[in-house]
Amino acid sequence: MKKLLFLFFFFSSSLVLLAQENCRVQDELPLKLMSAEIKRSIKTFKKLKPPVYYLSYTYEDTTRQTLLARQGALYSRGDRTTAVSVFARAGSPKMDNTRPLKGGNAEGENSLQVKMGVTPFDDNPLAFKMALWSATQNMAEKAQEGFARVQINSKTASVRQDDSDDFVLPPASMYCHEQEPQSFDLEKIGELLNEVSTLVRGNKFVQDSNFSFSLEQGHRYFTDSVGTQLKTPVLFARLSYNLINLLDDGSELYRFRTYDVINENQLPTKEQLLADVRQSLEELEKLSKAPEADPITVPAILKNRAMAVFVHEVLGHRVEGHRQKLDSFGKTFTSKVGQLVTAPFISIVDDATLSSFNGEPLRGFYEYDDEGVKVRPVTLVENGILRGFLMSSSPINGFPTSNGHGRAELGALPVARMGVTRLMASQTVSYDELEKKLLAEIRAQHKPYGYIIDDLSGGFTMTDTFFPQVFKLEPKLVYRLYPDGRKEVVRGAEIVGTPLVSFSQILAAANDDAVFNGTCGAESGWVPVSAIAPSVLIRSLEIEKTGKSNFKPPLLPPPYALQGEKK
Amino acid sequence: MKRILYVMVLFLVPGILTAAPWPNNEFFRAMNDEMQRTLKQLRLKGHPDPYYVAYWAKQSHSVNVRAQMGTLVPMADTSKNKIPVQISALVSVGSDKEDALNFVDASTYMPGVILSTRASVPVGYESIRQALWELTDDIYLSVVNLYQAKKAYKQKKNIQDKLPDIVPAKPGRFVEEIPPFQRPDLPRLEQAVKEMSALGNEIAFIENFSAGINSGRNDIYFLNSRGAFAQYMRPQVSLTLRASWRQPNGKKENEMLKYDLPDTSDASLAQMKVYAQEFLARIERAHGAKSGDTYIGPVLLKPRMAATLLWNAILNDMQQTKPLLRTDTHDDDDPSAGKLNKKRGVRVSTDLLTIYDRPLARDFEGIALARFSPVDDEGVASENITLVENGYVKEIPLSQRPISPKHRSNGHGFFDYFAMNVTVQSLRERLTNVFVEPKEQLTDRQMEEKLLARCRELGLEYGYIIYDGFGPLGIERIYTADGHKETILDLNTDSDNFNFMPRDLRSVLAVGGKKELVHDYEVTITPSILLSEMELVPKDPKPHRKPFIERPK
Repeated sequence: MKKLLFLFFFFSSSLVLLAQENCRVQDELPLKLMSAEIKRSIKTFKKLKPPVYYLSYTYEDTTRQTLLARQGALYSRGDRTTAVSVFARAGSPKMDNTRPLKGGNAEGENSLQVKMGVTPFDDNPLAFKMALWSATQNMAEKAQEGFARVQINSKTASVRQDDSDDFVLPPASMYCHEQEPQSFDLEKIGELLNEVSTLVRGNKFVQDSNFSFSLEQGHRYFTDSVGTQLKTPVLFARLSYNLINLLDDGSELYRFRTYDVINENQLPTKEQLLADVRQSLEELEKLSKAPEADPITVPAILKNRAMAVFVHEVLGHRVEGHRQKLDSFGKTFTSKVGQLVTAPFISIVDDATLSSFNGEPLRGFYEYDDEGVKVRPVTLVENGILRGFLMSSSPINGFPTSNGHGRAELGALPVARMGVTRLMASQTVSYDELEKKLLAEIRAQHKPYGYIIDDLSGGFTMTDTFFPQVFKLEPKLVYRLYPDGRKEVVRGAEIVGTPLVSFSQILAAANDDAVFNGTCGAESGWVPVSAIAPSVLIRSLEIEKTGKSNFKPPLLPPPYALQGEKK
Repeated sequence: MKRILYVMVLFLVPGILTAAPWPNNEFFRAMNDEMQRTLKQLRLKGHPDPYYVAYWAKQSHSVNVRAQMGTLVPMADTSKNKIPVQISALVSVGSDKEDALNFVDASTYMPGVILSTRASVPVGYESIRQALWELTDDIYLSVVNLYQAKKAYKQKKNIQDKLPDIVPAKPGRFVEEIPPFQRPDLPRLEQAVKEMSALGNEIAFIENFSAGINSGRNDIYFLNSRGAFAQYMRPQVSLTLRASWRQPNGKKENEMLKYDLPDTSDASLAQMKVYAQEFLARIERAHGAKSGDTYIGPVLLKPRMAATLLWNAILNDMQQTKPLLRTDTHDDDDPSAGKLNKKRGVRVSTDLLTIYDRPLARDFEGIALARFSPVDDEGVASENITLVENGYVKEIPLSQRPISPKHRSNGHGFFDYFAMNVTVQSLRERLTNVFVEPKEQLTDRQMEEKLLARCRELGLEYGYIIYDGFGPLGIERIYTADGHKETILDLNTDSDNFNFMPRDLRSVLAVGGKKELVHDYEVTITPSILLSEMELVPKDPKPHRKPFIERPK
C-alpha cells in the first residue's frame, strides 16, 4: 500500500544552496574511512557465490533545532543525528536482489542497513569502522538471500514486459561542497513565536494552534564501490504556523502558512508575521461560517501553488522511470512518449539544479542524487508532448541511464523521484484575465458556479493496477465563483480525478508562477521537493465532499477565549 | 458579641479563600483554574456531571552522554533547551457510591480508569491550561459513556454491590521545593564514557561496546478535586553498558546491563568504571564457554534474578487487589487481579523472608528510588506496609476501592509507572519500592558454601549461580570439588518466562545478607536467594556464518 500512495505535504523546512565545490574529498575523514572499508570489502565480496558486486555507504551528520510556541509559552529542543546507511547489490546488473518479486513483495529489496549514532570523528575511528563492517556484513548476507529469492521468482513467475537490467553502474564522481553552519538567533525567534502565538486569545473558533521554527543543517557523505566520493550540504529552515478549528459536524478546518528561508534575514518581520496571522485568523473565522461544498463537476482555476501540487501528483509520480517496468504499475504514460498528453502550450521540466525561484528557496534543489549521480534537468513534456522520464540507475526500455533522480531518505533504496518540477506555459494571461476566462467558461457550460482553488495542503495519487488510477488533492481555501462574478468561501471540498482526462483539460494559464515547497513520501521514504506552476484554468474539475471526523469540538470554550479571566 | 463575631468572619473568610494551600506556581494555578471550571461548567445534557477531577504535570530533565569503542556518540547541545511538560488528566462521573471507573467495557475497549496524556506542552499557564482543557473534555465524553455502560452491565448481571466504589480518605499533601535542574559537568561525563567504552577495544572478539550515562530528574505536580496535592522530585543517575560479540562458533551475542548510582561524583564515576571492567570480564569468561545440560538441583539466585523470582512467584499477585468489573473476558472475571487479596495470614514462603513495600523510601544507599511516592494517584498519603512477615502475608496494597466493609486505603492506588507515557491506563493497587529483609546476615561466600553443601548432600558434581537471567552472561556453574566457577551458555528454565510459582518460595534454603537495588520495570531491593531445587534445560541456538572479511583494526 505504501508504494501506491504518494503523499505531498508541507513538511519541515527549506533548502537553498548554490552548487559550489569548495573542499577536497581527500580531506574528509568520513569519506576516507568509508572508501577504505568499501575497498577492503568489495574485492572479497565480488568472489562470493553469488557475488556482491556493488556497495555504497551514505553517512549523514545533522543537527536539528526545533522551537514550538503555544499560548505565549515555548519549548525548544536540539537533536543531533549521525547515521550511516549501507547498501549492497548481489547478483549482477542484469538481475540483482533489488528486482521486485512478481506476485510477492512488489517493492523488492528496499530496506538498507542503518547504524545510528556513529561518528568517524574524535580521536578514535574504530567505532565507525566497526559499525561499517558489521552493517556491511549484514547487508551483504541480506542481498545474497534476496538475490536467491529473485532467481527463483524469475523462473516461476510470468515474463516481464520490460526486461531491462536492474541496475546501470553510475559513473564515478568526486565532489566536495561544504556549507558553514547558518546562525539563527533562536532566542529572538522564540520571542517572536511566543508573541504571535498569543494572537489566538479571545477567538473561540481556534481550537488549537501552534507556531514553530525548525532548523536542520549538516552534511551528507556518499561513497560507493565504483569510486564515487561526495560531500554535499543539508540545510533546511522553516518558520510556520497552523490554526485549527473543529466544527460541530466534525469538519476540521485549517489555516497555515510556511516561510522557507536560508538565512535569518529572510524570515518575516514581526509586523509581517502578525499581519499574516491576523489574516489567517480572519480566513479561519470565515471558513468556520462558510457553507459546505457539494459534489459537482465544474470549470475551475487552480491557483499557482495548488496547480504545482496538481502537476506533482497527477503527472509527476507517473513519469518516475523505474515504475514503467513494474508490472504492478498503472503505466499511464509508459507508451505515450512522443504523444500529446496535455495542451500544446504547456511544457514541464524537472530541474533540481535550480536553487531558488524569484528569490524563494527551493526545497527540491540538490547537486547529486542518492546514487551518486549528478542531477540533470529533464524535459518531461515539451509543447504538450511527453518526452521522457525521471531516471534513477534502474534502466527502462529506451532510457538506459540515470539522469540523477535516484532519491531516498536515509535507509531506503533510491528510486526515481522528483526534485523541482516546473510547469511552464508559452501562452499566458494575467491572473485577472484568467478569472474572466473562468467566468466565461462557467456561463458557456451553464454551470451554477465554478471554483477557485486558492490553497491546498497536499494530496496523493495511486498508481498500482489493483487500484483505480486516481488522484486526490486536499484544498484548504476554496471559493465559488458565480456567473455574476460574486465570490463565496466554501469548506469541505476535495478535488478528485484521473490523470489523462485531467491533464487534457487545461485551457489557459496565467503569468503568476509560484512555488510550493513540500516533502514527498513514497517507497523510498520522504524527500524534499518543490513544484512551480502558474495559475491554470481547467475546463472541468470534479469536486467531492471532504470526509469528516466523528469528533465534536470540546463542550467548553478554549480557556484562552475567555476574556478578562485571572491568569 | 454577635456583631464582633460577624466582623471577624468577614475578615477571615477571604483569607481562607485566597491563600491556596498548594504552591503558587503556573502548574497549580492552571490545574486549579481548569479544575474549578470543569466542576462548575462542564456539562453534557442528559448525562451526569463530572464529580472528580485529577491532574498531573511531569517535567523530565535529562542529560545523556554515550560513547562506543572509545568514541563519543555525538549529541546535540541541549543546555539551552526549554523543557516541555507532560500533562495528564483523569475525570470521573457519578458518586463515591457508584462511579464510572474500574470497569472494562469490551465494546469500547475502555479500561477501568481513563487517564489521558499530552506530551510536549510548553511550560506556561495558558498552554498548560489549554492542554488540560482538551484532555478534560476528551476524557469526560468517554467517561459518561463508560458510566452508562457500567450501570447497564450491573443491571444485566444483577450486581448489587454492598460496598461503595470509593471509600473516603484524608487527602494527602506533600510539597517540597523544586530547585532548577543542575546540569552535571558534561566534559567529565564524556571523558568517563570514552574511557569506559575504550576498554572494549582491548578485547579482540568484541564487535561493539558502549557506555552511556544518564543523569536526570522527574518533577511531579499533582492536584485533585478532593483537596490532595503533591509536588516533588525523583532524581536518577544510571550507567548503561551494551556489548555485542561473536562466539568462536560464529554465534552472535548481545548483552545490556543498567546500573543505578547516587550521583555523578568522582566516586560514582570510579564505581562506573569498576562496573564496566566487571562487565567485560564476564564477557571474556563467556567467550567460548561450554553449553549447559539438563539440571535439577539447588540454584543460587543473585539479586537481579532473585527479584525476578519474587515478582513472578508472589509480588505480582499482591497487586491489583480489587478486581475490575469487565465484560471482555471469559466468564467476565478479571484475570489481572492479584490472587492474594484474600490471603492475609497465609504462609507463602519459608520463615526466612520478610518483605516490605516502602513508597516513602527516597533512596537506597544514596541511590534515588524511582517509585518514591508520598501521595498516591488517588491523592491519598502513601504508607509503608509489611507485605510478608517471616513467610506470612501480613498486608496488601490498598487503594480507595474497597475489598471489605472496614476497608481503608493505605495509599497504594497508582497508575502503572509508565502510564504517563501512554494515552489510556488503569489505576490499580500497585507496589512501589519493594524491600526484602533477610533474617540472617549471610555473606556472599557463605551463600555459595550453602549452595555447595546442598549439592554435596545430593551427590551433584556442581550447582548453578544465576545472575541476570539466561543471557550469555547470566549463569555460572560452581563445582563441589573445589568451588571453582565457570560461565555456562545456553541454559534456560523449562519455559521462557522464568515460570516461577508461589511454591518456589517454599523451597528457599537461605537468604543472603547483602542487598542490592534492582531497578528494572519494578524496583526491588533484595539479597541473593538460594533455592533448594530448580530445573534448567539446554537451549539449541544456531550459530551465524562467519564474517566475509575480518573485523577492522
